[in-house]
Amino acid sequence: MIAAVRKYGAWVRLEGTAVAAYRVQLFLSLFGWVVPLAFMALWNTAASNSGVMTSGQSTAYYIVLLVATNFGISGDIIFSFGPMVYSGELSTLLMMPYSSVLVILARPVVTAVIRSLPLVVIIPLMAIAMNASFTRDPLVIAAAVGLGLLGWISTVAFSWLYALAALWVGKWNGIMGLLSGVQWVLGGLVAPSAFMPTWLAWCMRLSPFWLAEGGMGELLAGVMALQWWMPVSAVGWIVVLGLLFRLAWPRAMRRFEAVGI
Amino acid sequence: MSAVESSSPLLVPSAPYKKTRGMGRVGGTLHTWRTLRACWVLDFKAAVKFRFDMVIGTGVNIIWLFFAIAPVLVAGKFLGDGDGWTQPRLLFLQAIWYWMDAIMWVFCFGSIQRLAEDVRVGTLDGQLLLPTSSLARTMLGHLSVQDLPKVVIALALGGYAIWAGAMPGGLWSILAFIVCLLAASVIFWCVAVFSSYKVMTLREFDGTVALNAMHNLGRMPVDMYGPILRIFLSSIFPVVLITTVPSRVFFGWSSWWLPLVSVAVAVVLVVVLRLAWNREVRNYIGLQN
Repeated sequence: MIAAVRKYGAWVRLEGTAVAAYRVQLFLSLFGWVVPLAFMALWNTAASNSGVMTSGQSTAYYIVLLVATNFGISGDIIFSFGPMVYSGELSTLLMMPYSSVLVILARPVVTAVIRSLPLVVIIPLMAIAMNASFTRDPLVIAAAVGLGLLGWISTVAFSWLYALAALWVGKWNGIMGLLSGVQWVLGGLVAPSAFMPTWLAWCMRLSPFWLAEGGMGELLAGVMALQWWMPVSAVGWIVVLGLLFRLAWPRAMRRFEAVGI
Repeated sequence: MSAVESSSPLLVPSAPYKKTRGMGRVGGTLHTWRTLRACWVLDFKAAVKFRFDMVIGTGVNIIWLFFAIAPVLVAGKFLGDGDGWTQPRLLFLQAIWYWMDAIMWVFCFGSIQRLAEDVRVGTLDGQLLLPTSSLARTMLGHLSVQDLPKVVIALALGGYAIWAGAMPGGLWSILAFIVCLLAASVIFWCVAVFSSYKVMTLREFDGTVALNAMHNLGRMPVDMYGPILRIFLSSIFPVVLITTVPSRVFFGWSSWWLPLVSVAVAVVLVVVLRLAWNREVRNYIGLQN
């Protein structure tokens, strides 16, 4: 076990070194992802008339989303797995002496960490300049971060399952990209769940994406209180998706024919 | 030695070619236009073979459009008067934003990818020797036909927004809007080329981050951003000219001179781009070297 962890650590360091060679490009890519800023501008205008949240809270909500979406690796998993299959790169990764599921995750995780480094400076500046209103309850902050982490794990598991479709579907790019759109809505990028119709709000809250993004945002902005169903939903999704993945992975690997499908 | 041989082969040939019947001067504007048209016809013919992909792609684009305009559909209920930015007016702005999305995918992304690939494998050398404007041929010659339906979708969304209440200020507003939209499209294309042309001399270069940022910030009117960002987006990084100005002009909210500013900025950018491109081509050493 310890040997496996050490070997995997070495692999992550190797990927980190490779990715760090393009760190400037990665830092710059951070500035291309400004969708939360645009939606923040819209919701700051709308929030003041809504009575549901203040503009300071909507600023705080979208600041959290800016961080969460930059740490998200769904897109990296979905759009890198298909080319790995078609180019045959997957064959090499499957030969590694540790879990082939984890080995493919190393690069997206390291990329997300390096890409998000400038946020350490940007986020506090934004929060001060834009009068963001965060909750000051340490319990809620700790719970929000913990639930966000669980949500992140379930989002990764869901994306993995979705990415496996590349072994059955040839022309997958456009259809795979639709998951990002669904994630925009269910994750809370389009709007905080408090503004959605009741049925859609509950679809969002009980989806695997919400706690990783919008849920954490609503908790930290003080729009929503901690609820019992939040950890239940997060753990439930991780268990269900983990079981599904155990069923799907061997079947997917049987479809894989070294180079191409 | 002929005039062509005496000049550097990588410079854009502009001078002493013969005039051919019906084609204009070889290397001139008319000839370049005809060359572009020929390239586009070829792209169309190639796309016809994959028409089923185009149908699927259009379906995916329509679904994506709903995701893109969803915030406006939801927030519109809470906007009230919103300094004049009602839901239908914001939807009209979304239609302009989607038009720019079409420009980006139809003209820009394919050309940017192809330029990087041409530099890498050396096929750019041959293209630079052709007797047409290398800038136009390289950055406009490749048309992504699969994404052309986006133009129709943008027009349909604009039509719906007008039907829902985003009425124009008058006939002059409509004409001025068309001028602004064309100028904005040219500005957007210029930014796309600026974001990628350095790939000719730098080994690793990808400036499309600027293009993406401009495109994404244009999702909302610049009036809605905070004061610091508003100043930045109206001056150094002129996002305001991409979606906000055309919308304001259409609604009749702007001064008469605003379309002239758009056109002036577009002309200046094209002139500067041509200079920058020619300089870059001069410094390009080619794969054979």
